[in-house]
Amino acid sequence: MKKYLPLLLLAPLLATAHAQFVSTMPDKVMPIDPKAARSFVSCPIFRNTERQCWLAKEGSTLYYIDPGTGYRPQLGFRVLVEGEVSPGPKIGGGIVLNPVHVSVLAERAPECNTILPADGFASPPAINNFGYVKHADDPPLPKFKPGEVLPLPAPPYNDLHYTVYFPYNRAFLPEGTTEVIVESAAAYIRASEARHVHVVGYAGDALLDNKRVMHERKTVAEERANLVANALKQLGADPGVITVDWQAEAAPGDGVHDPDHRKAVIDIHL
Amino acid sequence: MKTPRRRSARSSIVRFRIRMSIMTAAVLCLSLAALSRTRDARQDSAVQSGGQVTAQHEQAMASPKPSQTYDSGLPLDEKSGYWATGQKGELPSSALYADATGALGIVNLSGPIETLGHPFFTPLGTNGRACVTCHQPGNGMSISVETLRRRWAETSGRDPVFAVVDGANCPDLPPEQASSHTLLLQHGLFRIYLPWPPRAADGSSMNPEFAIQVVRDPTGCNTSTKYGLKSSNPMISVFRRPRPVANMKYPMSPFGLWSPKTGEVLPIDPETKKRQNLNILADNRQPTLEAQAVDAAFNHEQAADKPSRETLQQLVAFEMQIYTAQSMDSRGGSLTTGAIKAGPQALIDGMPGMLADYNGGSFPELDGWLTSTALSSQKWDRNTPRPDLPVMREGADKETPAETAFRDSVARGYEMFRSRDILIRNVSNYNTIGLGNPYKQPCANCHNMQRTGMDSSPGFMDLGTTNLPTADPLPWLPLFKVTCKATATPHPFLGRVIYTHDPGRALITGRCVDVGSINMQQFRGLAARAPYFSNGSAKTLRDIVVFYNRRFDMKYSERDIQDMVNFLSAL
Repeated sequence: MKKYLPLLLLAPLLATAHAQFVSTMPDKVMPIDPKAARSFVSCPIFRNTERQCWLAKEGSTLYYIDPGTGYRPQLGFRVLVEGEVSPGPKIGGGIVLNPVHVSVLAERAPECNTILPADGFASPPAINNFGYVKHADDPPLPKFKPGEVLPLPAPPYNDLHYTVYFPYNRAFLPEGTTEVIVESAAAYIRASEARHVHVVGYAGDALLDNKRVMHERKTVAEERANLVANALKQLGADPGVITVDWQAEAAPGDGVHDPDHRKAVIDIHL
Repeated sequence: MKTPRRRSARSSIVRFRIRMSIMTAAVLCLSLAALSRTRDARQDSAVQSGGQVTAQHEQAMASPKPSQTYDSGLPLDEKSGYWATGQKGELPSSALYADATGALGIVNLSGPIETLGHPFFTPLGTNGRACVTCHQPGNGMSISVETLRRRWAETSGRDPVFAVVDGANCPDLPPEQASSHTLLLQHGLFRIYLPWPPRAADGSSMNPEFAIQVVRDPTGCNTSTKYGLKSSNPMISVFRRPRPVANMKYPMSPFGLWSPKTGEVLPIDPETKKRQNLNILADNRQPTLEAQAVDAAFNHEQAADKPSRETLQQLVAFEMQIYTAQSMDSRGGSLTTGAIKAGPQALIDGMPGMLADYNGGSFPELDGWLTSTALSSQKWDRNTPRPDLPVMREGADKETPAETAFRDSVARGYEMFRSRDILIRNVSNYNTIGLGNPYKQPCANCHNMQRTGMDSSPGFMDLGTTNLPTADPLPWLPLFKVTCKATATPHPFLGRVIYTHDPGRALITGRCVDVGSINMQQFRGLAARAPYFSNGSAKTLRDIVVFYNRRFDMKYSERDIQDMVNFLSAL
């Protein structure tokens, strides 16, 4: 499976635009190098540079982990960090993980409370808060402006599927592109007058670098499917054509592609 | 601008009352005929409302009924501009009311309003109150504690605003004694009584994620056997300020289709077919102005029956056309002429549903006071690009020194508000929705709705104004112990045991993460309606800034604090 470079690589170009009228979909794709993959649980560390900077340590190695997507680390909670070491320069003193998926774990961890001074480190590049890590099978999404209601897509129409990805153990649609994916799917269903829409929820384990396996909640795949299906209905898709299902078993982790399994897939049949 | 026109001669009061009685009887007959069609419709589908209303209404009707104590025909207070209920008069198309720092502007966009018989100014229930009782034009369509105290003195406590159902610390206290109304008279707080456990939309009891205990009950209402948690209709009493009912096109206009707080799509109003923004009331418990009006008629005005459809439509139409904002400052001069065009007209002209960051800032009507000279001392990094500023304001050569000082101060305060980053930390329903904790942003990131400073999305979050340890001690308020069940997701920053003066939105959702989450309110007309925050804990604008300075370790200097106060007072 391939992954696309995240918005992070485009961030310097987008810095001045600051999320206005921009599509956040990068065009290039690169496979993850298994040797460069990292998967660990750690306290997040906040470095107080002019623009905020998120770091985390695995052992004695410091990584820069700001995902630039809709779900950032939280002090007071540990994070599951899953990413790929980038050959680029360090940011905030940390080796850059890019792409990186950060999941805030549910259990409170008051000891995770480190705020480092800027210490002369430059700010990280501006990251569009509405960014998103594109996946190979994503259909093209429209350019959007926050708060804007998407127009209905024009014909021709074909069978299509959209995929919504979730952080570990969560069934929550964060603000930004994730919402736009669901909106786009709903608009496509309405415009194409789809005969059948099948929403399937999935879960995926995390295999950490220390070989520990983390399991998602038993019900999370079901929650993801229902969340997305309900959102489609609320957005005007015909409830009568939507069916919901979920995979009972979580996909096993390999420590490289684990975030790809935490998803809901919207299959649209004309 | 005209000032409100009144008939106040004492010699005409008797004739006035006779006419009023006849007209009131006629109105009541007509209303009763209309109401009879909706007698059993507290939860009908035409007006979608929160499921707690039925239980609340039972307590409202069990509270002391109207008596001779309440007299809506009391002499009018010309000096203060207080609008009593059922009074004949005209709320003009525009008016100025003196307030703490200058004058507040009010505009009725649809023209002058004849108040006699208008449902906003006419009692809808049995205790003599009308909507205007707690939403006074001269107080920015809220009501200040100063007005409440003056009204108590003028009427010996007989004004309907002091109705014991929620204008006393508890309904079982003697209405004629000021000591029964200390929360209202000292802090501007009305009792909001909400059923426990919370109710679902259909009125059925929910299974909340937490248990709640009364730790301290200075009003006696939470432990009352008739009105409290152990009564036959279990109820929790919290105490809150009335919110301004003006500029409503802004809070009623959704920004996009989603609630970032829940990650869910905003619901559609079955009546209007429009998305609901869920951005009114301290706990967002009612989705629409119609539903809020029904709630208020039942629970604040002790109406036996639901207002008619026509009445509700009139109320909403009035609320959607009235605008208010500060229009003059005693130090800075006019806020509506010269370099800036603030005041109500800015809100009338503004577009609702606009995120400030992408549309020219929070209060673009103040831009004319921004100069490079005024902001020369501000050195922080700006993430939001800003065009070059002029050295001097338009008309600066005619400013008095006091005007120059105030306008520069407002400019600095506004610039701090919109671009000076702070570490916003440990705010449930803000730092927890994907933004990160902390999130390094300016004040305007939460207060992101252009023209009002509200949150464009449903604005409930736990800033710490009601939850310990960040809340002030507030010994006059009840204190609750919230204990989250082992199966529930705990409050993200306070854990499973929380001490709070007001659980806020959690009393509606039953969720631990919502304990202490209070909906943001608009910034307009602040100088006319102290005290502030939902629990009245900030007696002055300075208290608001000092709270935030402490809460987020903002490191404001004394001048920074004053600049923010001046900025807020100009809105």
